[in-house]
Amino acid sequence: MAKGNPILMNGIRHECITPVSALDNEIGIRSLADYESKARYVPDGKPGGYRAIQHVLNNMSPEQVIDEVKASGLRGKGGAGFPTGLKWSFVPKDHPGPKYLAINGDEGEPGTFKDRYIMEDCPHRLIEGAMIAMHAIGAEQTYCYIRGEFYDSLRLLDDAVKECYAKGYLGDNVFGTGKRMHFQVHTGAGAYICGEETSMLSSIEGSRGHPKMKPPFPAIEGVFRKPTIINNVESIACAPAIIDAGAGWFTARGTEKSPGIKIVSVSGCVRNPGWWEIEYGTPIGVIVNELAGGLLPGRKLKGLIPGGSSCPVIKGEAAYDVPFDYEGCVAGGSMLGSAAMIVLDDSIDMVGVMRNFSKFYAHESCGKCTPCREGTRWMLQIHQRILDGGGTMEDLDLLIDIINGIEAKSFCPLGDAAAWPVRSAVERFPEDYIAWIEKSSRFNALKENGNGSASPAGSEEAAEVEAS
Amino acid sequence: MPELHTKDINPAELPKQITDFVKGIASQYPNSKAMLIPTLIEAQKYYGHVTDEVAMAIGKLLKVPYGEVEAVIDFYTMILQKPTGEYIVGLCDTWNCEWGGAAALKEHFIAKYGKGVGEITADGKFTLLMVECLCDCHNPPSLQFLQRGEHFTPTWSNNLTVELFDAILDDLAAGKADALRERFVRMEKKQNAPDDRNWVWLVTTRNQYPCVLEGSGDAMKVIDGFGKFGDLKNDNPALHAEIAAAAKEL
Ligand SMILES: Cc1cc2nc3c(=O)[nH]c(=O)nc-3n(C[C@H](O)[C@H](O)[C@H](O)COP(=O)(O)O)c2cc1C
Ligand code: SF4
Ligand code: FES
Repeated sequence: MAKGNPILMNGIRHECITPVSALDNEIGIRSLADYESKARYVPDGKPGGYRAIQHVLNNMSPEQVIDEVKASGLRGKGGAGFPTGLKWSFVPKDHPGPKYLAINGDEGEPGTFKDRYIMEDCPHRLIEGAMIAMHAIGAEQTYCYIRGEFYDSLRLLDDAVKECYAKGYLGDNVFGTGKRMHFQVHTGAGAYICGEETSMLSSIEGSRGHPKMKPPFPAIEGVFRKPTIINNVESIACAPAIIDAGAGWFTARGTEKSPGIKIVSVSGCVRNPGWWEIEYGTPIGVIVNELAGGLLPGRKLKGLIPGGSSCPVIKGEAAYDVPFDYEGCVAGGSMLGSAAMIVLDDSIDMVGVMRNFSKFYAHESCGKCTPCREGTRWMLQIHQRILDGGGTMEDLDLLIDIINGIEAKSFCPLGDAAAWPVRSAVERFPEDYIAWIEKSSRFNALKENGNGSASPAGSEEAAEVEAS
Repeated sequence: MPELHTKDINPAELPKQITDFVKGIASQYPNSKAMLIPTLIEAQKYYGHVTDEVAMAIGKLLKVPYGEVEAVIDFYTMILQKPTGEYIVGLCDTWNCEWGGAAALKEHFIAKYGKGVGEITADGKFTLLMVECLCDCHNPPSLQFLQRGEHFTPTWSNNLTVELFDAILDDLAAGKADALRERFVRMEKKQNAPDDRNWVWLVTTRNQYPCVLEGSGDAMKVIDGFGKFGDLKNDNPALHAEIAAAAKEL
């Protein structure tokens, strides 16, 4: 893979190994005037912000827009990788009432940091993308749900929206075409589960962020019980470039099944953690060693999580050869998820990592269904017990047993997300658990007592953990 | 600091900041309940936390039964029901930040003030809250200072060491105007530099910047960098002096 010039974007580690700046190369766009004047990368070189939406409004039918996005092969960037154009086509065309676009800016997956930079540095690209999507699905209203902790994103995107209203880009008569398009920035209030699409809709409706039953799918019955399309911030921000440059520009990059580009955020034990826009299919080794500067001197790769804390850990340096696309990551034993790469070197203890992840999921479980509400807490308690020196070999089986009870038996994917990384750690890194257990007093007491029967002291301890 | 309502309030008596906020966004929603969470957050910005009385008034204003308002307040961790210090110190302790040293910052805070998570320090200045991943995992440990006032004013402070954290807390308590300014943490040689110039990473309490240094000794200067680095070059002479001092050691 040729290493092109680093792209000067956003001031934060935006380097691109493809010879083009992936989406465009705005530098810290904050105001509309900037956005309109600065060159955005398109192959034929015609620059200008809000050019794509004007082209769409004047020359393209909703079906043509959907076809273009379908042809580009754009896949949702929020985690599941569902084809965006196909999703847009699910909205019933003849539905009489209002339809909605809901943009998912509830970025909260540990390890992910990409959407906030789009919202803070190129908010207009997101707004333009939303307008293109609204045209395609026939919606007149967008809600952009942003997690409450992102005060800066909320303020900067809101400022950009106000600019658009003032200039007539949004409102009841956009660009003088008589079309209505509204955009509302909606704040969350600190709940990871609200990133799950149906929970996000509950939250927009003003309720607790509990997931809803599917079907009906949101494209048929979503927010306020009206057809709703939910897309990640990054997915929507790709739309202007696809319209401007054409689907072929997108499919020319990446792999056949995962075309185009993706922002990857790299954190953990690397020299230069940061985020970059890359082509799908770039080997993970290139991302870790060339972009993120490699590991610290003298360290070796122990494990790598390609898609944020919800994905299984890939063991050892085999991870370097895994191509970074949806299919490649699955074949490598994990998932691409939100493309949040967490790098773990040989100084890291897997039990500690999983205790922390379990704590996260136990805290963020919404409590609606029992497997996840109870299971995540048990996983936390067991990890804590092992780290406190009270583990036994049975704890490994117990963890797998609990995971079997959560996986595919929870109401929403958060349960799976909590279970997968722990399963991969227990199955692929049992030595880390065993090292702790062999040091534990309970394990050694059990060993002295002969095979199996727990000492009275042991059962008391277990009872305490159960009660806590 | 605005006055706290501790008695039942008529929704019409809610401060203008809140009622204006509701008026401003009402046209975007098909019903008023959808405005509940944003309005509670706005009320919290105004009062610092949400009391039962304020919640009840907002419920009446938006025609949402009080039980549902309570259910929402209970569910969302960002809606605070207890008063806090002037600054909320929101410290992330999810994995990257735990690995980056969040526990040491937490211990330091507790030892320094003798107050645990969620409590107000004796001088009324700080409340430490542990939060889950702030999606700033490339700058661990990451924390956000939120200053109460008529609005919450957020400031990120990342890449913190215990010494820097301590200095920032002292400066804030002493009311120094630039207490939350961007501070220099460390400098590293950049691997895989895009050209032959002297590329380094500047790690500050806000971010990590790739940039180019020129000259030597006291004349050492940052001459180029990526995007937002412009701020650093032009607007922050104090930081620049710190960098020149550190560059001598690189
Ligand atoms: C627990 C959980 C958390 C999620 N968090 C996010 C998130 O923070 N941001 C996001 O865009 N999608 C998140 N998703 C995925 C969304 O449910 C949804 O698939 C996505 O927003 C669809 O957009 P896309 O097709 O553009 O990817 C989450 C899913 C689950 C199960
Ligand atoms: S899996 Fe967890 S987050 Fe999802 S509904 Fe059940 S309890 Fe809630
Ligand atoms: S882990 Fe602390 S910001 Fe993500």
